Amino acid sequence: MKLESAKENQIYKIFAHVRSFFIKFIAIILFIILWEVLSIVGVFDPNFISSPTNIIITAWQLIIHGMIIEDILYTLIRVIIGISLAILIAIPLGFLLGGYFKKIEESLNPFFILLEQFNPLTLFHLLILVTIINELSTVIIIYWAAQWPILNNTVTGAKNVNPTYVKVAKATKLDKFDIFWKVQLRSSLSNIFSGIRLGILSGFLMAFGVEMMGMTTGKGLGYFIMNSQMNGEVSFIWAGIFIMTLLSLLITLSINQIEKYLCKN
Amino acid sequence: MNLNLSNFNENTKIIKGHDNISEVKEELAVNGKEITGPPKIRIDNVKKIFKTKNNKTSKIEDFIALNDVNLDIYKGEFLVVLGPSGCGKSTLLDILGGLSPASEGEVKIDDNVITEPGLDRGIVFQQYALLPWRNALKNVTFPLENNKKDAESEEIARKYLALVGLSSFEDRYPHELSGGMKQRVAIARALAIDPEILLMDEPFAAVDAQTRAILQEDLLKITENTKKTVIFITHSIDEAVFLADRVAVMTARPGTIKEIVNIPFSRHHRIATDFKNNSDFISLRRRVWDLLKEEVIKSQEITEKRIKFEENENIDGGGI
Ligand SMILES: Nc1ncnc2c1ncn2[C@@H]1O[C@H](COP(=O)(O)OP(=O)(O)O)[C@@H](O)[C@H]1O
Ligand SMILES: [Mg+2]
Repeated sequence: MKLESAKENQIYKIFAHVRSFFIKFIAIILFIILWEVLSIVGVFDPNFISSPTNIIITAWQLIIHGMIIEDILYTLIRVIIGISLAILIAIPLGFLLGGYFKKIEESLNPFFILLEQFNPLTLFHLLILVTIINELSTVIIIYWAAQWPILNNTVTGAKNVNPTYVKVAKATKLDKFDIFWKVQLRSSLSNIFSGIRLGILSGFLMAFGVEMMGMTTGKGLGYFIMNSQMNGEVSFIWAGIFIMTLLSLLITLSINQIEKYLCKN
Repeated sequence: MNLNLSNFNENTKIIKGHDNISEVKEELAVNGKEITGPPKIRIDNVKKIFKTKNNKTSKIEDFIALNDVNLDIYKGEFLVVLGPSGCGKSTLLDILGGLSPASEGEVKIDDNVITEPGLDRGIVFQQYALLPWRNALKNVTFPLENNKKDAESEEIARKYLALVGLSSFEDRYPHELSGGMKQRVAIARALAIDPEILLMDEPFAAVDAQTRAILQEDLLKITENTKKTVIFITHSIDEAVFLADRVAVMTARPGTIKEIVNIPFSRHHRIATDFKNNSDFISLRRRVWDLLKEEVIKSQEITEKRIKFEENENIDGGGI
């Protein structure tokens, strides 16, 4: 009797899981099905738009034949280094400006907005001359684009730390270091992570841009896509876009996991 | 326990500045409090000046928030500071908590001048001030974590959550708690370090009247059982008269202690009888209101004057 109800419970739980999964992803699923159907019916010309199944099969083929692995790794590593740099620089800078030197932040803010508007791609050639190394300039451009949302969000987070929380910490005799870790950083965490997620998007955008310009060493997903375009390999273009999107999604998801883990403690 | 009124009048004698200890002793004896030794906390000529920037002239000006505050608080006493809003109550509490220094004068606890926060003082802040990313238990362990092991902190925190009646809510996050529950957690957190002194800044201002009445009773019981010295800030006369052994009435800004009113009834009497509907309570409330009324009007006049001033200036500006 008891066992049966436990079993029922388990089944119900699984059912509830599946249901919530469907509710969450129903829009994506419908979108893909519609895309596939329109491709099969012939509304989408396969010379321009590949069908979802075709994209997945092509991507899989490219991977198992090792035709795209190197490009994936290049893009991935460039983006990871660029974004890590952005995180390492923008978060401490954001705290200095938003938390400790508010006056300076006020004066620097307009200047930062100006810098942010500036598109580093336009200076790419100059940057290569200065840094000599292609890879370095690629990473710098990704870093540049990724740092602004992280910096802005960190400043906002640091500025908006409830001063009463800091008082609570001071009243219990925490030192500056502990107050920073346990209160100021902790209460800005969700702001910072929103910034990082935006940073990942613009980082990938820039990586794509730089690689498309073909000025890199001829590696990376952007380069792969541009090359396929020149060779008229439509399904390769789509597979490249698919993989790039997947990479961005994977990094964002792992950032979400890190956020969840940090917020638990 | 029925006090006759002539006795009661005698016991609500007014004292200014620093008290005559023997007089206070007599007074507090009526509350069922026995005073031994000198004051636990001595506030001595405390003045607080904020530097503020005048918006019009951009000049830095002195803004006197507190002026010449003198007050003695005895061990085990429940002292309520009552004053109109903006008179500097929170400022005074910050100084007592060691969170901000006095511009002049000093505060001594057991003859030691306060220069920084200390674990001898637990503070309940005006807003709930619970850390939203921590559940009830972790909010209470917060002040313990640096000195104790996790398991020990949690054990102590559980004990204090039980004391405030929240044992089954330890996993709840602040946004999942009602206003009254949040305030209970805040009290548990202040008690967790087992301080001798409890500083409370309008802790019940944001909860509904019914919940407040229950919180007040519970607070009286808890502080009586744990033998804390309490400084409790409020702008509510009813709350002051119900909770206090003595009420220190403050003036409008710049805040100073106007008068100290003794509440000559034991805590037990206040809880056990229907004290709030008692004629003694009502006449005490009237007396305190008479003291406070003038200050409330004064603090409002200050704002009115300022509004008129700004209007005049606008007209002048338009003429040029
Ligand atoms: N850091 C500060 N700088 C300038 N003025 C302040 C500061 N803190 C408080 N004040 C002013 O001091 C006065 C007293 O404030 P406060 O102690 O919070 O009053 P209360 O708690 O009695 O309502 C108010 O007019 C307030 O605006
Ligand atoms: Mg206040």
